[in-house]
Amino acid sequence: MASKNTTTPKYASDAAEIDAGLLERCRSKERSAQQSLYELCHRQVYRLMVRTVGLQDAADVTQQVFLQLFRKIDQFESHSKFETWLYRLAINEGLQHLRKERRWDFQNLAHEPMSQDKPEFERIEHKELLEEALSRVEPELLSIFVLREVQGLSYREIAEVMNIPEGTVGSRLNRARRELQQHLADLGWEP
Amino acid sequence: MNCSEVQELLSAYFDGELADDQRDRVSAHIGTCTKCAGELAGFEKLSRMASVLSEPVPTHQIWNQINQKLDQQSICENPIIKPDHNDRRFSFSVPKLFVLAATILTAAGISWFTYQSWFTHGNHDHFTAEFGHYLDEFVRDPDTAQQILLANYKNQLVDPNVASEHIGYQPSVAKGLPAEYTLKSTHIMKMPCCICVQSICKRSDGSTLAIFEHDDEEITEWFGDKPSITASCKNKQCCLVELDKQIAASWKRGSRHITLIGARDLEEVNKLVAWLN
Repeated sequence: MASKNTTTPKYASDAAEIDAGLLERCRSKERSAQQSLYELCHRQVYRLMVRTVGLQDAADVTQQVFLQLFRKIDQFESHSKFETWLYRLAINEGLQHLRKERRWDFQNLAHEPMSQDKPEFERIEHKELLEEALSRVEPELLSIFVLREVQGLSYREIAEVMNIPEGTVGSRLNRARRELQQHLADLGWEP
Repeated sequence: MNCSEVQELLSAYFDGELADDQRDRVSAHIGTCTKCAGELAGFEKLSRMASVLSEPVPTHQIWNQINQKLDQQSICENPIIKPDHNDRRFSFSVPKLFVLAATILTAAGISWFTYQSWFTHGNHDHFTAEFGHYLDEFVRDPDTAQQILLANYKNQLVDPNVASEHIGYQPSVAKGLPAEYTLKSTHIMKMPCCICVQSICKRSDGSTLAIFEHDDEEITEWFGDKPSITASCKNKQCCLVELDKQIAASWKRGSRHITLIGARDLEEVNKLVAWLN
């Protein structure tokens, strides 16, 4: 089996329109510029948040990402890629949210394998199984998997977003993929 | 290459991130190894599943709420300062507070003093009101205030030495307190702002000090419109809030904040800043 080709990201942002002038106007807290920047980027951020923190919390965390972005926009260095910096903000907010939520679990019921005897099992689509399996993966591994498979980032870009050595991206993806496969198997998925 | 080496490189191979020679060697191995080929097939299936995940669509509400919060932040940054001498919240007038604070700070050996701002918080949200009720009660009766807090927020009594199992870090109080304090209880609390570790400490005279450790950046929401200043305490930038005749103090420790409720004076704040850091 051949390897996948590296392709352009599935969901590229309108990065070409995020020019220095727009960012400068955002630094000056010009609301129309802030809204323009939001309009250009919010779909990618929201998608990333849905996959990392879940649909229920994605809107709230997306809000937090953009509030942080506008608060910290002075820290963005123009020689870097804006999209990478934005993803890093988003991942950090998502991970922070997950750490708060997952630690706080008085009713931390262990996930039990779905019984193949249950009639509902037969109606569950593969994508729902994957979404359930994704929710069980350790947050940092989940982020890396989503950045690769959903956002289509290269290993170099993933390393920059996650602030990890590029050489470790492959091994972390190995772990993420294997962990996902195990969760899918626990859920009764048959390949 | 053996299976162990190939499996280490499998994701990089699948994602097209290997150099040509390495890719060719992995490919050659996979062609003769059903185990590694099977694992690669599993990666392919996962990727196909991920490609059919539904495309989530953000609602317009998200920008509306961001817009509102930006408006609120703008109000806080551009305050309308109207001290009302009949308003008990301003029981210390600005000039008097400067003199009093400068005197205390000088006596406590603090090297510099900054005045941040008086401002009326636009963000009198539910949490600020609830916590304000707690603070008002704390200066009257700390035990009753504690009951208010426990009734308002989901909580769990814990031993601080094992709290890390729940929250992922060891709280500062776990290493102990200065001799004149006794740790009475530690709770993990889920507050709207964040998850807190809250400890109740008693002084030798029976009076109470509450210590919160939390990762909420927006500490101003805790104190609403109570008068506050910023000062350096043991090289830490502290937010100091007047609570009747007591002080609340908040400073950043690593990635989290520590907030004291019920400190007697800046000398006590300094001592605890030094101890807890």
